[in-house]
Amino acid sequence: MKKIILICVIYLFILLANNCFAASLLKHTVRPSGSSPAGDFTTLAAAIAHLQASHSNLVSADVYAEISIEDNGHAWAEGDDTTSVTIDSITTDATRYLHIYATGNARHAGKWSWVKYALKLSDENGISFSSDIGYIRIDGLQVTLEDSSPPTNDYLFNMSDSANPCDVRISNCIAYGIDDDYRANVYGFAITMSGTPAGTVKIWNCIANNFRGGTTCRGFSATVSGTGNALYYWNCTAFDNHYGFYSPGTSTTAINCIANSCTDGFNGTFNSSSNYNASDIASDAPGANSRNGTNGDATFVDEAACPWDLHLSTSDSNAKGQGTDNSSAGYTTDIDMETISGSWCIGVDWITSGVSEDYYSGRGIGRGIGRGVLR
Amino acid sequence: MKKIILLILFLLIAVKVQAAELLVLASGLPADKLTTEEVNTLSAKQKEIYNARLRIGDIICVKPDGWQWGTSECLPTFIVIKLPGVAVETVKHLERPLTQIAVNIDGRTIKKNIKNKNFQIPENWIKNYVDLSQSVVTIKATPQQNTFMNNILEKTQ
Repeated sequence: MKKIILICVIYLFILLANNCFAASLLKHTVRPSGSSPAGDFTTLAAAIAHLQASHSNLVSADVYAEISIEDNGHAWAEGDDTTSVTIDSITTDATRYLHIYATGNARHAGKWSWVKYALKLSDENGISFSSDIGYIRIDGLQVTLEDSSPPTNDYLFNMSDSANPCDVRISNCIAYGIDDDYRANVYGFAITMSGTPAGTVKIWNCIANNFRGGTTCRGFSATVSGTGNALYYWNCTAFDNHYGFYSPGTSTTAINCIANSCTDGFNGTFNSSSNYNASDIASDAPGANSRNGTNGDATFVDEAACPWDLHLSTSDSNAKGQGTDNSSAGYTTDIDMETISGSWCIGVDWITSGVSEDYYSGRGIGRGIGRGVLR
Repeated sequence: MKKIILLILFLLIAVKVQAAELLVLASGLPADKLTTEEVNTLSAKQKEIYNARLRIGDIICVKPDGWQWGTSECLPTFIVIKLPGVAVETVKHLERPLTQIAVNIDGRTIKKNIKNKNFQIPENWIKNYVDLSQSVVTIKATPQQNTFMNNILEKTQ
């Protein structure tokens, strides 16, 4: 009996310890001007400035911080948030990290939308995170550039150098370039990692499209050095960029990624574990099971009008069901947050073989109408 | 006569519509309290971030007249400065960072922040507003507005 009581006491102690010592949540909201009730902030830049001034050390405060970008019945409009965001001067660690996400009606439905939250810049970097913030997660955001002035050297999701160590996760985001032949060095996702201790950057279910104007433009760009540093692209879609995925080193791994309508889909050297990718250019995508040329040419829902709908068409056969199960990486949903079951696809969208999963899902019905599958 | 009255009304409305609001940082960052000795111990990367950090008086964002600010876009962290008669387009640049084109480790050019915000309202002005607990300050038309605009600091490297 004493033993049972002792075991119960130890169990309770462990339970309490886990609950008592887990970091607590510090949450702020960003809602558009005119929301009722209003959010804490109306721009992402203001939310970050507040954290920098009032909650700069998440570790000592023992909190993980969330910035929830919401709609609350008052839709976001084009130009609501136009302020470049620099995230630095915030101390984080593995359990006390910064998490920025769009949710509910503020979150895009896997395709660029101006009535969802979108950060729109004018010849500036978009969201930059600095080498003093190692643990950050960004999910469901859209970032683009204005077409009014020819931009150069602008990176929409920008990590100019890594913290050491770091665990950066960017998921379900869309970087939308503009088509202007005068620009140069405009990137969707620009990741630079260096130094030690090593860290990881994981980018999944993200789209980079229309980084086309100059020969130096890139959808996904990587510069990884330093022993053990690693960058992963999983289930990402690069469409109509000069370079789709650019990797000068072997520390970048691409799995289930697709580059279509790019001048150069996969440029450089990728890690040998890269596989199950697709490119519509011959001998381009890395990996023994990758698809190239006509076999790597996916059929999307809308490739005719910009912004495109890069969900897979039900008629597609080159990306649908051609990916590998990557659930061991820690995600099991596609860009629409629909749970993947059965065969994985290449790119951001998952559809079942034969019939689109969107035909059946409540959320997908709206999308299905947009796609024409419910006519 | 009616036409003149209508014209005057139109002009009045047009002038009223043209206004800008600035969200300004009123609270300092913990890094402001570092001593010179502590700053000297920072690595080169850390010093860059330290030098680029937000400062009291930095203009975080610029929005049009009537912007409905969030519940935390006020003291103690922020002050809203209203500028009636000033078009947003003419002051939009005040929210931008100070950048320079640099070469990254792989040789590509990057736009690097030297200061996270390029323009700053004098710190002592902001401290005065804070002392008066003024979350919203309206700078009325000339000459007060001219004085205000002329005193906005443009940072340098």
